[in-house]
Amino acid sequence: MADFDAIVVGSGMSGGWAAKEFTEKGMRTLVIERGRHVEHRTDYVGEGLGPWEMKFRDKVDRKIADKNHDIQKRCYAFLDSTKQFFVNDLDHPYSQEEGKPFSWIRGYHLGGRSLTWHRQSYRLGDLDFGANKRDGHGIDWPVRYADIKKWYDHVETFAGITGNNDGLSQLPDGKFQPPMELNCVEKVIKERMEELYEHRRLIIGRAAHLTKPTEEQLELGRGTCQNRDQCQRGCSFGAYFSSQSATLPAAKRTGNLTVVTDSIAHSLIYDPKTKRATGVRVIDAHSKQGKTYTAKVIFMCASTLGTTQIMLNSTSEHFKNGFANSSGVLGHHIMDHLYAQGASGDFDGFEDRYYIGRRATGIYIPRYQNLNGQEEEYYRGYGFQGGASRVEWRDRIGEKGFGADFKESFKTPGKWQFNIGGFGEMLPDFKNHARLHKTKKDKWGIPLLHVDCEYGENDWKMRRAIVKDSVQMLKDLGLKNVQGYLNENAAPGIGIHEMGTARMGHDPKTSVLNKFNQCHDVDNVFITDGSFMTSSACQNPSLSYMAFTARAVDYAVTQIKANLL
Amino acid sequence: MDEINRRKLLKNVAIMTGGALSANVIAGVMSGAFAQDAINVDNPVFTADQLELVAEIAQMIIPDTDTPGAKSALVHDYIHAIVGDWYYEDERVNFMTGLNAVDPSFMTRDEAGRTAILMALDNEESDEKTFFAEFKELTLIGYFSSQIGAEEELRYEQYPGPYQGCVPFEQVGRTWAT
Repeated sequence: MADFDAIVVGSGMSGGWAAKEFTEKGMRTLVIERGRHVEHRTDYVGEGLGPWEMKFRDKVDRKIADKNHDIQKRCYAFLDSTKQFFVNDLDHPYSQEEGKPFSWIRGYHLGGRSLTWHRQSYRLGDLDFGANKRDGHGIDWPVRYADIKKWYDHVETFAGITGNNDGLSQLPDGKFQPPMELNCVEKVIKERMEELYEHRRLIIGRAAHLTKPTEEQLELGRGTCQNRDQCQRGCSFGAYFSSQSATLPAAKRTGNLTVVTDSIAHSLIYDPKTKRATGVRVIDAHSKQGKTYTAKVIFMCASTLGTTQIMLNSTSEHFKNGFANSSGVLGHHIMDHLYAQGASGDFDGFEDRYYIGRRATGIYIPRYQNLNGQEEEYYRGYGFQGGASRVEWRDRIGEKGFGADFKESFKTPGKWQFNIGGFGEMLPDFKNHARLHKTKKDKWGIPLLHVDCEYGENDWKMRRAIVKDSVQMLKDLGLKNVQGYLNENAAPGIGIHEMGTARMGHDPKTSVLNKFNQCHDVDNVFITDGSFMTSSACQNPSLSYMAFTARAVDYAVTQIKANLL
Repeated sequence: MDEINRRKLLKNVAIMTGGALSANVIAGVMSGAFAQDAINVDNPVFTADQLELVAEIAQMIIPDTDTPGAKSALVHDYIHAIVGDWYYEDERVNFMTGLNAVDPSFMTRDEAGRTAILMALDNEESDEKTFFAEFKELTLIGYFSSQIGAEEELRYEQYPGPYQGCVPFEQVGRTWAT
């Protein structure tokens, strides 16, 4: 008999959801986490610190960052108060193709990147699910919005998403808690945008923050967002969604949950007689001792590249090129979001107005390109995130002056500024892939992942279009001193939305997973982290990982109960 | 936030969380004093005279007004930590060269004399960041991220509560430090 009904590899965004759904359906569930335990609240060591309480004022000691976190330091959220939630790159190396840098931003600990995510939560719609089929890039999604809609409802209701139902065809509405407020300037820009453009809308960012907690959320010890906007330090209020604040405590209270930390998944074990996976081999991170756990069903939620590495490392007589990889596409079609390009400008007026609070979301301008067929010189589209704020002391570094008047001048905020940054859809491309390094291994003897990924022609066209378009739009909206920006050196991975290496599809010859996130080749193994994404859309993906995970668990449990798994 | 509100918030949070809170949250809610804890410099590089010079220049940039200035906020210790512990060797050499090039009479001059010296440095034009521009950047960061600079001179709220997107400026009164 198997040790557990279900094994979930990984405890982040997807793993937490798999654990909650399985345990609530009465399944004895084991969560395997490669990193250390992180206790909600008590382990948020950076929370509540004023900048003066940190020697380098929340910057990570540069010598430590340069030595131990040469990749992680590229992430905007890597700070003195948050650094404990990012890996030491020396302990966890990977390999990059010469001339093709890839930024793999990671957190190896209980809760994974659910502790450090940016919480923006948007549904995909049929514009997205139909995209590959429509323009012929990639393979068709075996799912449409009608298949996943109720699961978005399900995860939004539990997680708690603040937002507004905006009634846009390209961005489905949802089950939202009250929206956060636009500030004065954002409201004016919203109105001007609606007057000027047919399809462009400025909406308040939809984000995984509680603004009006439900009974269920209160029972789990979660409370209302305090607008500190220091979320990646951890939130004792449980006001933003994380595995620690929400899914793991929900799983724990069922009595069906077991969690092992410091346990690195090495590979899956395949039984050719039953054509099933029997279990997971793990290595103790400290003693390096091996151990095997068995279960009826296995959910891979170890992050896109983490899962890919484990699957590729799970070779056997039957699967010589990686687990459930008869298609040969495992590890291929890495996508991220096109990131680090946009524009900003000054807004005249409202100089007697200000805001209170560091609002934990921004504004969103949903995709407005190629909505009605192929209209642009590039395929797909992009949305913008950003917001309006007033110039403060940080923005004024470099100005001339000193003395009492100079000091006094900082007491009054400067002009309002409005900035937007594009998030673009990256096309799936077989060439962009991860494979196991032939010789190099980590300290646990696991072959390093080698990543070979770069932006393609369409991606570059779109990046340049985002800058051009955002500059023009801000000018049209009446902003002054408009400046565009495009960071040419921002390599893929820095959007931290890497996905697509075990895509879903109708055909087992060209995809790893079927429409229920189930491996075509092995019925009792499912992948519900970002690996499953058949295309990237341009929306932040975590909400979709949650919804597909919940749906896949529901399907798996039905199959178990029918004795099919 | 005043003391009563701090305690009220702490109580509410404690009730909501069943009493389990990170130590920093409790300390953050409870703290009220405007002060600057000592900054520990692991690799001191300034002589006593140089440290004094740094403190006096920083104080000229951010003097005492209705609130304390750079010296009270220990901006000189912050700059010392950056130059001694944060900078790589070439950056440190650059900074020390700039510091040693400051008119040696600075310490003995009156305020007008000091102002003239700094005015000349402030007006230097260069394609690269000048010593004084770098010094001023460190001073602004050191001051406005100190507790005096953030909470007394400007405004800082650890627990803002509900976001209000369009209030009269007077309701806040001063720029947010962050």
